Amino acid sequence: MTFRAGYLTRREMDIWSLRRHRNTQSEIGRILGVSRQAINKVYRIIDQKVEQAFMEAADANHLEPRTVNLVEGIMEAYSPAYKLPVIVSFSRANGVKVWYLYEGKCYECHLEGSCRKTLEDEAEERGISLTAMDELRTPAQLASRIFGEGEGT
Amino acid sequence: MNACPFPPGEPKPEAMEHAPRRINPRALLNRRSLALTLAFFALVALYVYGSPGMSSNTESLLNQKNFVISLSLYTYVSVMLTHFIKLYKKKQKIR
Repeated sequence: MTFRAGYLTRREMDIWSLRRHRNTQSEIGRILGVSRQAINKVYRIIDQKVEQAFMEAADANHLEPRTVNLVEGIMEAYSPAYKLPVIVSFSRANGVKVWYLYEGKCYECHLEGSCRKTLEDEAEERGISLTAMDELRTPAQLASRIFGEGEGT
Repeated sequence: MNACPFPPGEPKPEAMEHAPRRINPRALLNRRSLALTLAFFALVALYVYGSPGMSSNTESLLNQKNFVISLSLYTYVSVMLTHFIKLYKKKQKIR
């Protein structure tokens, strides 16, 4: 399931992306030509909207939220229905996505191509460079690597 | 632990590329398709009626040296090109 922009406007999405790339409020203000105070105000709105998108994703998928990282756009949750840990990701490229942490059988799935594309976009946006070895991984393994790395940051 | 966007055991939706597409017959009749069709028939006519006149060589085109080889090569290249264009379009659609 996807909330394409997590209810963020294009401007808010730009600011959110800049913040994720470790830019300070002053730097973002300078880039966009607005004051630091204005950026601070937008931060609060962005956090509210991203959190709301995460909570609605959790609600729609019957998940129990555990931790939320609004800067990285990652929520760790648990699915009582499937008894599985879940990661909900939020990115400019893919919006809100739910990832169930289990083996995953990509070799018998016809959606492997689109899954791989989604993950490649996700990695690029999160500044994770994929190696030749990653090309050989199944999307399920790739997702684990991308979100595993995201959790550590 | 791996990760998958679909919960275990749940049926996965059909990929977008497998979804049946409705094509409006009127959409096929545009200037571009008309021009392409006319160009195709013009080339066929040129090949059928114009070949002896185009060359001083009175020998039939089919008997010309290496004709079959070059035709096979041309067909192979066209098929490969079509295949790669289709592949590219499919990839774009997935995106």
